Amino acid sequence: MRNVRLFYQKKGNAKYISHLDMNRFMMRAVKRSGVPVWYTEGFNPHPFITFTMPLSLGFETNYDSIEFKIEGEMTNEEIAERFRNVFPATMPVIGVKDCVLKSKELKYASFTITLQAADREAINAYFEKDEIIVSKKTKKGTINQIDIKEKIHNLSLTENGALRLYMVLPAGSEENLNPAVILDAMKLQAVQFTIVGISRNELLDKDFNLFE
Amino acid sequence: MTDLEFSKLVENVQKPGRYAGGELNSGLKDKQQIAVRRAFCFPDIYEIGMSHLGMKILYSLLNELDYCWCERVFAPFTDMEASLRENNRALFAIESRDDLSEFDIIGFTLQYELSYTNILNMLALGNVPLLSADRAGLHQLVIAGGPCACNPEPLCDFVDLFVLGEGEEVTAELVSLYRQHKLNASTKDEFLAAAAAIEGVYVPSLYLVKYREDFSVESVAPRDSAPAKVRKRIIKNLDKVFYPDRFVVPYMEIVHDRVIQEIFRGCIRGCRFCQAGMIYRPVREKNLDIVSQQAKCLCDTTGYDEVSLSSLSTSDYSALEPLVDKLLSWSEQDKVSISLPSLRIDSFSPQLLDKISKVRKSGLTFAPEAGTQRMRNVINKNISEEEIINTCKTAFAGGYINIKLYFMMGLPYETMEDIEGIIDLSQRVVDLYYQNPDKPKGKSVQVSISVSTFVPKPFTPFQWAAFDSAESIKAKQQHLLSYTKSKKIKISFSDKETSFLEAVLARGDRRLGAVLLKAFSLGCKMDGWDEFLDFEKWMEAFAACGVDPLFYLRKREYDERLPWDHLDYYVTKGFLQREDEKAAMEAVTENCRQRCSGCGADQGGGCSFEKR
Repeated sequence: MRNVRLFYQKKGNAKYISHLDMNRFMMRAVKRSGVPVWYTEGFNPHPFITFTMPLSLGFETNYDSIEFKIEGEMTNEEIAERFRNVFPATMPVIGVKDCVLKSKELKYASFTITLQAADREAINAYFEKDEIIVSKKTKKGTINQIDIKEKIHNLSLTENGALRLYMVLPAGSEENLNPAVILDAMKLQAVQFTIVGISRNELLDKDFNLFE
Repeated sequence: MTDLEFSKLVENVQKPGRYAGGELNSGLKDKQQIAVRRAFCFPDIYEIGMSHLGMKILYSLLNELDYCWCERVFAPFTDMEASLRENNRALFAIESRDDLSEFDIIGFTLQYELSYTNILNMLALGNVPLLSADRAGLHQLVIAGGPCACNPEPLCDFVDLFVLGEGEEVTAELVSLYRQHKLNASTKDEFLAAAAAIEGVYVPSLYLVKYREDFSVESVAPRDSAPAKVRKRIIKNLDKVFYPDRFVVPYMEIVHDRVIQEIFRGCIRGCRFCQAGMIYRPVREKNLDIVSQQAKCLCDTTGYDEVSLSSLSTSDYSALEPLVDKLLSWSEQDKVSISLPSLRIDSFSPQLLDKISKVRKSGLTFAPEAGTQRMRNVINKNISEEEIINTCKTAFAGGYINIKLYFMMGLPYETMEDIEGIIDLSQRVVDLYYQNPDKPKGKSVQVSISVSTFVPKPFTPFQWAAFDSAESIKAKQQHLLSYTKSKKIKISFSDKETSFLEAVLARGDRRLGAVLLKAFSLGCKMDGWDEFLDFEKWMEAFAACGVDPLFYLRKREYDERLPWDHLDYYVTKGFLQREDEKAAMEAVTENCRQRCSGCGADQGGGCSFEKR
């Protein structure tokens, strides 16, 4: 048995599939693909699949992945091809690779947020402040006010027809920051904008290299 | 609608997956190449509608026609409806996101009387004129079918034609006829006259209904060449009838999220309260090899890991154990589980239990329907107390600790003793658990009993019976509660206002069209949902239209002309009356395999499989 990762994108209509529904979708996709994924051996055997990093409802992604174990002989190319055949057009398959990194080595994710009717000056000013305070829910359900200024990397704001906000944020099992939290905080500071779309571009390791 | 417009529309909607589409096996077609655009409308939300087998069958069947594109439309949930109004958007079909008003044929399925206002709401949200008379052209033809079409009279103002009985053949015939008439630029009247000649098609505007001064039906006169009686359609051979080789697989979880495999239609039992048991006659089985093949194929094309066998009474399939063996021959290897709903109490063998146990152990549900043997004889539910007790014994021995029992109250010829019988029987089941020497340690039993109010329905032997009065039901419910001694018995009742409206609409006539319209204009919708039902507004609507709802709930005489008497579901009025008379005498009728009771269902050549 070997551990592999399947990389795929989630575009257009697929952004309306929640994480829970993605999980059920994957179970059925595995079944239809005929890929010899290792099944759990409990009372109700099901394919054993781990999502590298759950994606929020309404987000698109260029680079998402699931991990599973393969029993028997099948090349990564064939596995990818089989998933390609059973995934919808809105979820193009990038490829299959043997796991290089462990899931806990995922540290960052990059995001592009496309905005409309946005006040560019106000957005710039918002990110130039000494501290950026956002409300973040803890696991216990209480809401903490935290400064995330230092957690935002590679911030850029570009304009090409629409306004695009790019940023790299902590992601993974230890620390995680959802861009929606920042956007909510901006709204509270009366910064004007309408969200057209949010896309998670890439998953990255501690050195900002592609997570594979 | 652009993607951006759609995403704005669902921005604050709780479950966008209900409207997003793009599911596996859902069909996109090039609308320029399509002669007939057909909307299949389910007047409830996505999760419920997507669970419905009839829709899966007709959706696939219509989309196999190259000139037709069938799309799905569901009732939007309240948050989506608000968003549609806020954004000034019309209700749209899931596949193309085109407005409902753009469709040639708009078809509704009538599964439940309390979804009628949703039909009006969906038409209104889709900018389709509500009244049939206001839709002049052939375009936006509103049709409806399904079990409630056996008394469609309350909907006659809104629906252009009804399809009675099973839809596989008649649906294709209708859409082909429509295509022809659209090509010839026929008028709506020309099309409707031609459609009325198809067996199973009821065009209400071709029938003039006259009422007496006391509001009972005096006469129903067909116009032109429309048949005096409209007969339902049946499929003679279930082995040859169309069955989909793929289902649309939703991303979000729906109520019945699995492969549904039909095994037979009709029911041999003849329970006197049961409309399905009468209107789906005669019994026709699907061959077990075909059942197995179709189920396997559906698992392969959908990726589902569960198959549920579908029929009115699974255990009456004449070769159930061989069928289960056949299914297990591939399902275990494919890691697919088989579930058998609608098992009868008397058929519940330890062997069968063992086979189901390979799958999943949850609670068990049985339907004794009535608490005393006398009452079970009245309703012709031919199971004995001993059979119920033995079944529960088997279940307890098999490790089950939750038993759910279904009962009805408000049945004809019912007394307080019969109500007490519900609790006596439930108590016996509780006691039985504690007599079981192998009962799991430290676990207590729960017997949940669900007691619904009986609604007498058309085309049943109880179609003449009165719907029990509100005072009587209240007294019975209170007595039931005070008579219950054990905390192991959990009781739930059906909502009395829901049953009341269900009874009025099920037994109604054309005068209810105005009431429906009024209720809708007062804001009634989603009436089947307890949290949305506004009974006061319904009463206001009845009052505004000068219609007394109690008129529809009264006992009717055998010689009264019933509003649905011009429709023919094969079972004869003579048979229904005989059965009602036997009910009064507490006499039982044997099931179809024991002895033919001459119900009339064999007129279509249906019962031939039995080879008596």
